[in-house]
Amino acid sequence: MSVPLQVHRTFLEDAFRRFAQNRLALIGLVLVLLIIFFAVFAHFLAPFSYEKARFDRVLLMPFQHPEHPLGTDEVGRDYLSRLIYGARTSLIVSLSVQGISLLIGLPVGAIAGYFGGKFDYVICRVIDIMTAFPALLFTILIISVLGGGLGTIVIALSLTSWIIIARITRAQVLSLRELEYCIAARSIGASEWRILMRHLLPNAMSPILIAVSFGIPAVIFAEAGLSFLGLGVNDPIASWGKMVGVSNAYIRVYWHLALFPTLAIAITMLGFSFLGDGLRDALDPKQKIQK
Amino acid sequence: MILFAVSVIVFSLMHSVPGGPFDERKGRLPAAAKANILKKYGLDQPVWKQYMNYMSHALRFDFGIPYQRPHTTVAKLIGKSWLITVQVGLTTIFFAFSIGIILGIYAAYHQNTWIDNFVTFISSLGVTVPNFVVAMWLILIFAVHYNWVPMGGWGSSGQCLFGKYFCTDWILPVVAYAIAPMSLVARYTRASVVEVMGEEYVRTARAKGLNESKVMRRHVFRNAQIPMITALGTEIPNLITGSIFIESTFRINGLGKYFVTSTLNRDYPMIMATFLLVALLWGIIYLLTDIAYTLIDPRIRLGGSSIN
Amino acid sequence: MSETVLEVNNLTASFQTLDGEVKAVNGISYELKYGEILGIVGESGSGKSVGVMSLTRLIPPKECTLSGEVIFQGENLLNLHSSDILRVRGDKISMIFQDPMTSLNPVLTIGEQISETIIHHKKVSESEARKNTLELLHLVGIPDVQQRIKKYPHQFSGGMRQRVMIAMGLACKPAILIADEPTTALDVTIQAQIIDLIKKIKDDIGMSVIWITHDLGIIAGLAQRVLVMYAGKIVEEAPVEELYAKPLHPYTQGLLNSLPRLDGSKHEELSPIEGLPPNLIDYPQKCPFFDRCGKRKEICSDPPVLKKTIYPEHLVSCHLY
Repeated sequence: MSVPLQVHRTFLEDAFRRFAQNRLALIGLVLVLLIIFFAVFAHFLAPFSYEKARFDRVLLMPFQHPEHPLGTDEVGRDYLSRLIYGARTSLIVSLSVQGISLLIGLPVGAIAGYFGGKFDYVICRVIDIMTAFPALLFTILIISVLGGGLGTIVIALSLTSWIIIARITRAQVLSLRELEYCIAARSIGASEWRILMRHLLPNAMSPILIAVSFGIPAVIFAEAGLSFLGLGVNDPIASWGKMVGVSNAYIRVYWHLALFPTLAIAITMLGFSFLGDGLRDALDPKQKIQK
Repeated sequence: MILFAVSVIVFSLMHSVPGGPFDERKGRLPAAAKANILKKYGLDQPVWKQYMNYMSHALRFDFGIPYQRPHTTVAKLIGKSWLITVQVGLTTIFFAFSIGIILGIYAAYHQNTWIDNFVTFISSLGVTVPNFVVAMWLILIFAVHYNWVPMGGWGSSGQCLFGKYFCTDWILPVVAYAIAPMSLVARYTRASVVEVMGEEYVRTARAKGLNESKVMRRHVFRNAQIPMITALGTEIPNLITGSIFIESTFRINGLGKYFVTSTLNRDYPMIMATFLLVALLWGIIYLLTDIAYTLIDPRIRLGGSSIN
Repeated sequence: MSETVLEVNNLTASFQTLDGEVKAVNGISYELKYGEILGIVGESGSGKSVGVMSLTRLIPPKECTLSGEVIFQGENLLNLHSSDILRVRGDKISMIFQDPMTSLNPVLTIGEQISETIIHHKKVSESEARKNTLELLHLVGIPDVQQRIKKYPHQFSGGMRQRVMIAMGLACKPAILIADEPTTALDVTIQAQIIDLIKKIKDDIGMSVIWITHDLGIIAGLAQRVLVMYAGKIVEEAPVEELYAKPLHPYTQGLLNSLPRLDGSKHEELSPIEGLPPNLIDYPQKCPFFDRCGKRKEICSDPPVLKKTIYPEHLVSCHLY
């Protein structure tokens, strides 16, 4: 009776393989790369400036004018260009917010988890309260205090986002701590310990990575929503949410004002969402069982 | 306890801001006039005293006078909007949960068939797309293009089912708002039911010869409810208080809308009041769902006293 | 009386997996007599659990295909309409499982769970069912029944819970009680109590019992006849004393040899059976014990080995005989 061959793969190779087999995840990846492409090269791709108003070309419908395939907005700016620059706004905000969240959340979570004590207790209470309470309302409150604008939103959103990172980091540090002591207690040789660290670290990083990958669309949503309400970025910065918000008044006739940014938002969210799902499925330790 | 913390935070935020509603941004006021106004609104007293003052008034529902409209009181302005937001929330909860649960159970029962995959996929879409985006699409299709339903307002379209309830202009907002929670509910329901269906006591129930309907009702669903309520419990207060985008899109005069406008105008009393009300509403409902949870799971209710 | 209560003919339960077909139960046949306790012994994966669950078709047809015959009260249970088999389950053929904690619904009181069976099958009122339940609880030895009937499973200890399971199984006074390793999760003293309980009740009600276990010790003190299963087939069948005194099949011999003995010397090594159970995926037609059998001959790799009668009542599936 032959024993089935056990192929030895590292954790990362395994995860990568699983990811590559997931069709939705790949679609997500493609979409995300597209968005990033547009955001980075906006300057070269957009035919017009996103801020120059032209009052002789106000509210053109798509294809009404050869130079504006997607029409123009209420002050005559080319919609296509605004859309492309909108990608940049979304990405800048979301990446900044996640970046700051990591900057604050990682150390706070790590310290709380590692040292415990009163600090940990306080942090836990904070995490509990802020996780349960709807973050959006809180964010708006902060904005009401600080005023609107790009900087404000980034700060406000960061203040609600770092909590999630902190919580995950804390949980990871706690479980790692147990493991370390266990190993020390069993006095396994040092080299094995190093191997374990090499396996432990990817395990520890995964939930954080997944949180970030889900956090980015969440921030994009938040920024779009806030700008939609008028509480977000200021003119003339191009934001999809803002574009949607403004379009509500004109929707009876100028449907293009609403349609394109909403599609942009939806596609972006879906792309990141599929990507995030794919990452989570690929990195999920429960799926490490090999066939 | 949380409410107290929240109100303290809010209040301190309001006052830590270097600037107020009557600052230079709004236009210059002569110093004397400014002092007068500050005195009238009690803003010149030490912070903690202001807080006590405010809370004692608040408990009597006297939130003061909104800066933007000194003619009426905050209370009057918000009074009606409170109810409207609750209406929006409750209607949405009703539809989102009932349809969501049915879909979830259906998908779980037909696990891994095309029905299940379809429902799962659609619900992942429903959860991701923001509700104001969905709202705009719905408006574009059903209000603008087809003109079947009105575009905005709440209760003002005149065509209603029960007097002033369930009017045609309720349709779009509720649908738009309900899609995301419905998808979430369906997902959690499905996961929970699938897990319970794999439990041993379901096998026992079948071995006893009970028919499928009894098995599903008494054994599967009763147990599936428990993790569902944990997961979905916070959805309920969030839904009641989170209709901001919907209210804005459909021009509904709810609490959310006032929250937004007062923020745009830096209207202290309004902001405080609306935020506190929202927080209060949220807190009450959170408590209620917590209570419901303990009622349903006997293991929590009775603890685990082992009898020999 | 030794009339036959259940007749199983060539029962096969096959599962379609991604890697191929698995016949968890591969053509087993036996009879259960009135008032008899039949023990089924085997290791994990031998098909003993699947075998008895197939009797009342408890495994969803989507996963498992059954063939053969299960004759009970003049009908082939495998051919019954799905709503008809529900009438047999719980009422005429009842089953209790291994882990009473997970086998009982945590959100219903034990009273409700027992009464549920009675109400469903006998269509009596709730109060009538409650009276029955109280009697049953008393019968299985649970003290203070008036109070306990309102309690939830998590409020009982393991032994008590299993008694509740038994009460549930006996609720409709079934003709056959199937017990799938009911004492494996309990400690030894409780085991003994449960076994005594079953023996006593069986005589009171006139019930036949099928008892599954991997523990040879339990079988010795409980069963009247024993089936030994391996890899989905019955390899030996005998009255209990004969099986222990004169095991014929190499597998049975190996099992009995591997038990530590009270009268053995302290320095004797335990002798386990070498090797592992076979992979049942698309299993070829040969004796399932072939790879591990110390006494195998060339003929043993041939097509299926049929049961042959050696002594009266003692059957074995082996080319050696």
